[in-house]
Amino acid sequence: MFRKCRNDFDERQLLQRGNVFKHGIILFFLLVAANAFLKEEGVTWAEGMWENLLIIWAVLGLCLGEFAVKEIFPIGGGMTVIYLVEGLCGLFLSAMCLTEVITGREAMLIGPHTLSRTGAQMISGGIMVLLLLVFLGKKVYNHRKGDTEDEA
Amino acid sequence: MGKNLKLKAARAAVGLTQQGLADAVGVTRQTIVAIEKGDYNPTVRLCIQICRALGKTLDDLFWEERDDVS
Repeated sequence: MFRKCRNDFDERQLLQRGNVFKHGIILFFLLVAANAFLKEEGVTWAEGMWENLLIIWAVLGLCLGEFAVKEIFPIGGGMTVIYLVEGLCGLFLSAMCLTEVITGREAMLIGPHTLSRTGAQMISGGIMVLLLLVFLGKKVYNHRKGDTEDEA
Repeated sequence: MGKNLKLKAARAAVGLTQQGLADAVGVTRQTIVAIEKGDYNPTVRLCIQICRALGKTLDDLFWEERDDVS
């Protein structure tokens, strides 16, 4: 099983993968620092654990988005399935939350600056859908560009 | 870094496609594209592999003549 997860990246892909992780870590530190600052100021921008979860989602979203754009897939073709499943889950989650908000069963905000659980879930779903769109967009771009020979 | 037209010409001269050269040296086609475009600066190791695959020397493919050198 682990053998299947091993990859054969070439030197350029390894360099790009490193850059993606670097961007992810920088964003993570910035978001954690901003969150700490807001906490210190007494601002709660999302309900309960959703502050932390949204930070994690934002970092994951950036990394997965860059992987899709640069076509660096850590587990090869299996990433297509991951993007599709994750995107469809996001679509379902967003639709479910949007329905709850529209029908008035839940609110997006529970305070002037605080996202409710539903609002945070909707944003998480939105990130997941956005990742699928980026992935599909890259596929379409490659197809239209004619991902064949001699594009240099 | 400008386009590496020497590499492109050498590859075409031996009748290799970008994919063919990529397979020969064990990288992705996008890496060959990036090298030819001048978007990526390959390691010496990869340069040597490319030279071997194309039957050229490092000077033939990767040495840039500077205009200011007389």
